Amino acid sequence: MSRLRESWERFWFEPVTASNLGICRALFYGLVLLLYGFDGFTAWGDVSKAFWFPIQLFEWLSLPVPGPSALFVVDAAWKLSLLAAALGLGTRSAAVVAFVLGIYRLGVPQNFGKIHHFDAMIVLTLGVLAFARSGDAWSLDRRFGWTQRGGATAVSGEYRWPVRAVWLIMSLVFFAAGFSKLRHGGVGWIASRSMSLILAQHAYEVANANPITHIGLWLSRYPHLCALLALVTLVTEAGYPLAMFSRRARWIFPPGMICALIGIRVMMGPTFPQFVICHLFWVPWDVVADKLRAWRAKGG
Amino acid sequence: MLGFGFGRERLVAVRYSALVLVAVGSPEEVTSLEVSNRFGMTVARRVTVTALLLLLIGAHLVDLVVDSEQWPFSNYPMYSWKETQHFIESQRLLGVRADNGQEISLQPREFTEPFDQSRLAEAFKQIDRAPDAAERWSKAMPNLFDIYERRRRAGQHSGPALRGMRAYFTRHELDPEARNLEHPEHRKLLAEIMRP
Repeated sequence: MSRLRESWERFWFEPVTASNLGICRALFYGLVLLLYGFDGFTAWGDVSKAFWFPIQLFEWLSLPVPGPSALFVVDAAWKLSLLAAALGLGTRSAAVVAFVLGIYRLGVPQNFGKIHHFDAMIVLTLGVLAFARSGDAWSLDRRFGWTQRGGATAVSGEYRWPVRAVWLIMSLVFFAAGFSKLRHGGVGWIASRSMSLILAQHAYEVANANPITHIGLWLSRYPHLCALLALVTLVTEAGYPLAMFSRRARWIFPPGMICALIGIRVMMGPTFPQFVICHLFWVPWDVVADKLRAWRAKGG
Repeated sequence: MLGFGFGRERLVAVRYSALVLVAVGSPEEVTSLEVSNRFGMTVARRVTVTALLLLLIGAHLVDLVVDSEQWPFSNYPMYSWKETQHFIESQRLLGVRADNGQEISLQPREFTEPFDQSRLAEAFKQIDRAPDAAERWSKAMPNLFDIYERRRRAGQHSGPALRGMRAYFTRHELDPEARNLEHPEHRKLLAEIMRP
């Protein structure tokens, strides 16, 4: 039991500098702000209650959807909190506001007929960062001396667990997707014409966006290639959690998943930029920054 | 409240003692309340984070085991069923042009904002299954029409003026080139709105 606890604590809390988490924070909030900057959220305030099929969270909390003006205020406040968190200005408060408003802001559309899965990962990552001390480096808080923690050499487990918690979220999400395929489709999901038919069906404009190319339709004519694609997809999803524990797997599964997400967009249509954004947490940005600094010092 | 100063560790540790018991194990193991310099975090803080991580894992596992979806957690069932059908069924919204009465596809998302095609199709499916379907349709179609026309007049999309809209259930037999995209083999009118 104590060995398990020791391993657990070493995995999550082994002290590191604040740098990597700080860069992850700045990039994550900045990219989320860019992604949702102009997505027409306030228009949900005009949609009739005839389309209202509330998800459990909204039902339990009796959360309403007011008119466009009130939604505009919520949206603006959320985006301001994202901007502040990206800049590292009042980071702790901004992160909490971004999370609380984010649940509502990203949850509202899910009540109108269909849950789109890509927003959930953003909400959960906002949740992790709301609990984290991500403003101790690469932040205005640090620059103005508003935080005393996280000097250049200071190390703490506080800067390690949030990054790994986002790895955990991604691992749980992608493993669940792989597990669901095995549960519902079984081996037949790979060994049949299933993938070929899925690709052909997506040429009929059924997803949230249309395929960028006709490659999916072309590929659907080759069932064996489609079966191989299905196998690679399933292995990438179900094997994704290995990346949490193996450095070697970290070079395979996250890049493989990004390729899969781009492939889905190109061949089938559905958009998953949120999932791609969360992958930035796999990059050791502090190492990248150090190498860049060394390169510039050499006069590169 | 979330930032625990080292001087407050004892108070915080007492506050979180229940969590400590749940997350770490037997009472003997949690009697030490000192700050662990090795991790640079108080015990209470580590326990709080551990509780958060276990909550994340637990909530995901519940949805996975029960095969359910409690947003933002989910079992991620998309595309998980073995597909055997050589056709695709969907619900589609078509517009009726004001100038010549011709039906046109309202597929580009700009015409149906804030809905995209997949969410709109699922919403139509749910309305059709709802016990109060007739009442919902009577509100849903005018609402979509009004949003389309208001946005068109505001120059927010490039679609033509419409005199009506129709929601259809459609079935397309799969064609290797998808040549029948605009002409499904089967379609059934679900609801319509026509304005004079």
